[in-house]
Amino acid sequence: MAEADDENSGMEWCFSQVKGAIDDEVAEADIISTVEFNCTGDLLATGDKGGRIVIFQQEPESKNQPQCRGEYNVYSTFQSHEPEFDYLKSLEIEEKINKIRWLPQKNAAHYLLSTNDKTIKLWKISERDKRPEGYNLKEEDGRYKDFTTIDSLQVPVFKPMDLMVEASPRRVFANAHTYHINSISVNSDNETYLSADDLRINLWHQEITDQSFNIVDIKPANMEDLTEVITAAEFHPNQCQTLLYSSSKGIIRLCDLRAAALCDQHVKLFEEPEDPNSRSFFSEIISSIADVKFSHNGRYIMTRDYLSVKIWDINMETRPIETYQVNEYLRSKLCSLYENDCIFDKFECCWSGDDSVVMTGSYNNFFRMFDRGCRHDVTLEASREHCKPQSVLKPRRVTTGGKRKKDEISVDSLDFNRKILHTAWHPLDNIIAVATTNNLFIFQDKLNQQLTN
Amino acid sequence: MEVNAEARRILAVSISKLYASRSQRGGLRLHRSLLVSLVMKSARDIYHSSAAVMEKAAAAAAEASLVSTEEAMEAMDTAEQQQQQQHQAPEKQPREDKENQSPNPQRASRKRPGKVSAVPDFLPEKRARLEPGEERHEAAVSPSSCRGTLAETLSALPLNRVVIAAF
Repeated sequence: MAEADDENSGMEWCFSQVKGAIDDEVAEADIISTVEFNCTGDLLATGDKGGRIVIFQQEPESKNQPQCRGEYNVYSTFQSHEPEFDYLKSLEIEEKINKIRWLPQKNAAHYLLSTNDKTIKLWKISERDKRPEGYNLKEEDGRYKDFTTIDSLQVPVFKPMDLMVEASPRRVFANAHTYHINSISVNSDNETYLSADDLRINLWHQEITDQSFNIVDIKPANMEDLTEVITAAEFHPNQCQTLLYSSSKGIIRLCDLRAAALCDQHVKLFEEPEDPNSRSFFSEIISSIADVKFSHNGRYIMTRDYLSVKIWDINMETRPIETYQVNEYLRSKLCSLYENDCIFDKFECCWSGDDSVVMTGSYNNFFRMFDRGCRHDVTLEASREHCKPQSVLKPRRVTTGGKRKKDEISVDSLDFNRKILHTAWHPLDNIIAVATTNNLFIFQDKLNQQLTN
Repeated sequence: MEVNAEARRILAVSISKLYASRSQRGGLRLHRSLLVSLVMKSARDIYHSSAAVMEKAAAAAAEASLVSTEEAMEAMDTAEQQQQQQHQAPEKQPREDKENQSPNPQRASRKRPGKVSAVPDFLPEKRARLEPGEERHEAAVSPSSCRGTLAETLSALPLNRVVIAAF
C-alpha cells in the first residue's frame, strides 16, 4: 500500500486507461451496473445491464518501466445472467447484474458471486494453459481411433497451449427472494454470505444452494402499513457475526447473528435527527440511503444519500462523526430532479485501502473525493477529452452564482444524463475504477508513481 | 397559492410515475414506489392544509364583506332594502344541476374504494366508455368545483394502499 502524503493537501490523479465503446449512442445492454476489485486488486470485474461480466487483469509491473503500474487488460468475458420470465406473476426478470462480490482466493482459481434481481450465481474463473496430448484411443480432434490400428501404448502428456480463461457456473442460488435483490456480501468466515432484497435478508452457505436462512424480515403483516425498505446490507469485514443494513428512512441497523435466529431486533441503530428547517416534499427521498460500506478496519460506517456522504463511528449511534456535502447545489433543483427521475439515482461510495479517503460519484461524470485527514475535497471528471496518458486531472468546480469563473461550470449546465453511479478503489494501492454510463475509467495516484521511479 | 399549485403539480407527476412504473421491465420497484407514495402523501397534506387555510380566509373575507354590505343596506331606504332582500333570497338557493345529476342517485357505486380510478380531474380521462344504462359518478365539470372534488378525491385516496396493494 503506497504511503499517503501528509504534506500535500490532496492526491493528484492521473488518467491511466479507459475501457468501452467510444460511440455517443449507448446500447442499453452496455450500461455498466457494477464494478468491483478482488481482494488483491489484480482483478477488476464489471457487470452490465445485458447480464455480462467482464474481468480485467492487471499486468505485472514491467522491469523496463518500473514507474508504471501494470495496465488492466481483458482477462475474461462471459454471460452471467439471462433474462427470465416469472410465469406466476407475469413479470420479466431483468438480466442486469446488480452486484459482484469476489471470494477470497483459496487456490489457483478465482471465484466470484454475481446477482441479478432474483438469482445469485457462484462463478469459477480458471486458467488453462496446458492440454493433454497423445491419447491412445482418440485422435487429436477427439474422434475415436480405429482400434485395429492401435499397436502400441503411450502415456498422454500435458503440453503447453495458448492461455484460455474459463468461467463456469459452480452454484446457482435461486428462488429465495420475493423482492428485488440489492446486495450480496461475503462473510469473513469464508463459508457464508448474505443476500438482501427490499424486505428480507437471507444467509447462505457457499456450498448449499437449496436452502438459505432468513435472518432479517421487515415485511409488515399488512403491506399497506409498509413505511421502510432495505436498501443495502453488508457483513462486518472481520466480525463474522456482525452485519448491518440501511433503509429508505436513512437508518442503519447493526445486527448480531448470535443474538437470535431472526435478527429483526437490532443491536445498534444509527440515525441522525432530521433538520426541520430543510424539510421539503422530497425529504424522504433524499434521506434514503443508497449505499452503505464498512471501513476496511471495521470501525466506521459510510453511508451515501442523495446529497451527502456520512461517516459513522460504530460506537456512536446518535449522529455521524463526519458529513461531506457531495452536491448541495442540487437541493434547490429537487423538484426538477424528481420530474426527470434523477432523484431516484443510487450513487455508490467506497473507501480507500487505508480508510483515509472516501469517494463517490455525481452528475456530469464528476466524482468526488474527500480526504478525511486533512479535510480536503476535490471534484474530478471522467471524460475522454482528458485521457492523455499520465495527464493529471484538473479539479472541477460547480458554481451556483451568476458569475462563473474560468474552468467552472454552472449548475444549470450540468448534464444529468452523464452520471457516475459505480466506483471502486483498489484495496492495496491508489488506483481507482470509475464507471460512466458505458465506459470504465482507471486513474492512478501521480504521487505514488513518482515514488516508485 | 404557489404552494397549492406546486402540490397539485407534484401530485400529477407522481400519479403519472406510478402509471408508468406498471409497464416497467422487471416489474414494480417496491423502493421507488414507496418513495413516490411518500411524496404524494406530503403533497396531499400540504395541499389540504393550504386549501383549508384558503377556505378559512375566503370564509372570513365573505363574512367581512357581508357585514359591510349589511351596514350599507341599513343606511339605505327601508323599502329598497326590503326589495333587495327579497331579490337576494332566491339567489342563495342552489340551482339544480340537472345536466350532471345521476339518473339514480340512490344506487350504490360499484367502484371499489382506494383504486386508482379515483383520479384527480386534472389528469386526462382514462375510464372506459360505459354502455347506455350504466351509471357514472357525478362529474365535476365547473371549474369552481374542481378544487373541492380534488380535495375529496385526495382524502379518499389512501396512497399506500394504491401503491403497495400491487405487491
